[in-house]
Amino acid sequence: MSLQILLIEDDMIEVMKFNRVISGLDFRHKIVEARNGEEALELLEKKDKLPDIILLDLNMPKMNGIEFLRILKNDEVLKFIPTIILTTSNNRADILECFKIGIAGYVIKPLKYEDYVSKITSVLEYWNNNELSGI
Amino acid sequence: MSEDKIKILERALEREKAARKQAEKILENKSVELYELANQLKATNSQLEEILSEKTSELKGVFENIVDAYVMMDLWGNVLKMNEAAKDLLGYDIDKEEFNLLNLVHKKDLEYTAKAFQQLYKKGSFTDYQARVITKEKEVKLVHVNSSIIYNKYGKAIAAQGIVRDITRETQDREIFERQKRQLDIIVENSPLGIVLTSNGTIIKSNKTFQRFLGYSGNELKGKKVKELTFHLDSEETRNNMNSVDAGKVEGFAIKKRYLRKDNSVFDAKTTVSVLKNSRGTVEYQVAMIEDITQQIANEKQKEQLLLNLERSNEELKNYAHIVSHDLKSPLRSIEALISWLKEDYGEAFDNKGLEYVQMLEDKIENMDHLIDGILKYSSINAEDMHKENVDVHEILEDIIDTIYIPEHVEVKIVGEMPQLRADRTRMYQLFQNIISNGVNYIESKKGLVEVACENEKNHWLFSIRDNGVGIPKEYHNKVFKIFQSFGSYNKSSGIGLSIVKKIIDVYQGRIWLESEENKGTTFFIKLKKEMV
Repeated sequence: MSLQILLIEDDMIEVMKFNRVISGLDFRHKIVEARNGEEALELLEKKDKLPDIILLDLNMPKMNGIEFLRILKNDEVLKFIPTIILTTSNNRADILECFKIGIAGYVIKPLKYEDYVSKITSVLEYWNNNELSGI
Repeated sequence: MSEDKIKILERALEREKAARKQAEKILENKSVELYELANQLKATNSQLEEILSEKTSELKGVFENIVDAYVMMDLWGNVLKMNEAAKDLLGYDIDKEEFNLLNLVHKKDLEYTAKAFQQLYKKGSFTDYQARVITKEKEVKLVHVNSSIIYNKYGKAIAAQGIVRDITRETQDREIFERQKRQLDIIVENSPLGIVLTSNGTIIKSNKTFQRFLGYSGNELKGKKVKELTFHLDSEETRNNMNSVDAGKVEGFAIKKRYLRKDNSVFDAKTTVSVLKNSRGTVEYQVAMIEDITQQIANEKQKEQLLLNLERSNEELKNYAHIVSHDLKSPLRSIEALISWLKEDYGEAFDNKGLEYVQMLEDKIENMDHLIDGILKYSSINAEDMHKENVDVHEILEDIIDTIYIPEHVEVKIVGEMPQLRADRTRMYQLFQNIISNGVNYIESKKGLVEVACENEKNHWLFSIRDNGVGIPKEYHNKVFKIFQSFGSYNKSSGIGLSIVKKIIDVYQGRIWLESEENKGTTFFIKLKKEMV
């Protein structure tokens, strides 16, 4: 089984890191990239091919992660897509705000690449076992 | 003589007789009248005598019994007569020795006395004469005299009389009273408080301070209703207070209220009203003390504003620290990933030296990451964010020992009992973790030991964290608590740990200091109040 993943991330190397982790996995997950919230909303507007999960960075230029999350959670259809925050910020206020709006997880990017690999691997393994098709 | 002649003569005689009879009759009547008149006169005379004697004794009585001193003198001031009161007052007795009133007058009042006498002779009287006299006992007395001239029946002045009153005491009392009133006035007028006396809401008296506060003169304020001076939005509170005072519920009240100045500007004041009741217990006056709190209110506002600014800049600083830490950490993480990939993809191209460099790079990156974390932690310590919870120090210490990296040769020991604190658990954890890590990291001896103990003092807990590490040179003893002052070469040190410790202790108004000997070890002491803020 494989997941359709929307990765919202502005940092090129972060995107590379994510892709490198995916390519090392057994599952052939499909990744769609958006460099910011606006681009992501454009992609989601079509609604015919919605992702299984969204991985969202918080600190982005233009529309930041929390603003994007609010829009997403106000949409009658899109609000059901599990959204996992993938961020540097361990700011308590940010974490609380995200959970308040509605997220499926909060992952802090570790310094070491090897820690990153294990974290992403376990997140994807978890969501791979969830039944969420047919939104 | 002829018949005729005789007849004529006879008739004439008859007429004469009849006339005499008539005259006798008139005389008789007159005599009776006279007699009666004489009787009447006699009666009136005796009546008059009676009245006169009555009046004389009356006068004598008045003269003797009059409370005030009475003196009669000739026109040169020689005393002719005096009553008992006059004898008491002057100490002289005219029945025993002759004396002249003018000789008794204080020399400073002689000129005035001379003028008074002139007026007395000219107009026949002189009232409200006031002068000092010297009594026989050499006492100086202030007397008040009303005098008048006595004339004889031909309208000639023959003597003078005067009623003398001793006003020494009265004058002294009045002077004392005046002095006290002046003193009181000085206090009232110079008070920094505005003071107003009112009755039924109308101003009776106000002091200069109050007049200055409101820009009115004293006369303008007199008779004004307090209501006219009160800022309309305030009056209800005042009214409620006034009503409860009137109802006898309270003796006074203090409120903050606003007054209207003459120029219609508003004046902030603290007003304390006290009630003065009369003997029947009804409210007669109210005394209001008005304190200018314009400046105080301005200060409070300024303080509020400053506090707000401080809060805002604290918040900004915290956000700023988060943003900076994010912006610094992101590239660090990228570098870490790139180095990993270099090792994974091209590892075989490196010789041992190359791999060593890569390792050093990774260590430096980790160091930098710690530093950023440290700054973030340091900047987010502030009093407002601290919780108050029960903290078991023993539990925290065990937790720390389980969690932090402790090299094989080092042992961390908890010595004796540890207290329960009311504090923020996370901060307490940070405090002990940093200080223990610090101890653990700087041990080079073969068998390292870090001991944590606590002494129970009267108002404080005195913690000590003793290690047998490298020690800290004296010149660094104060510097170690300052940010970025790591002096050691240990590469995991960010130099922030002890600054975080110090900042947490500062928030709790505690104290930290150290004793150290190079190559023997260091002991940190932490003193925390039992009642933490």
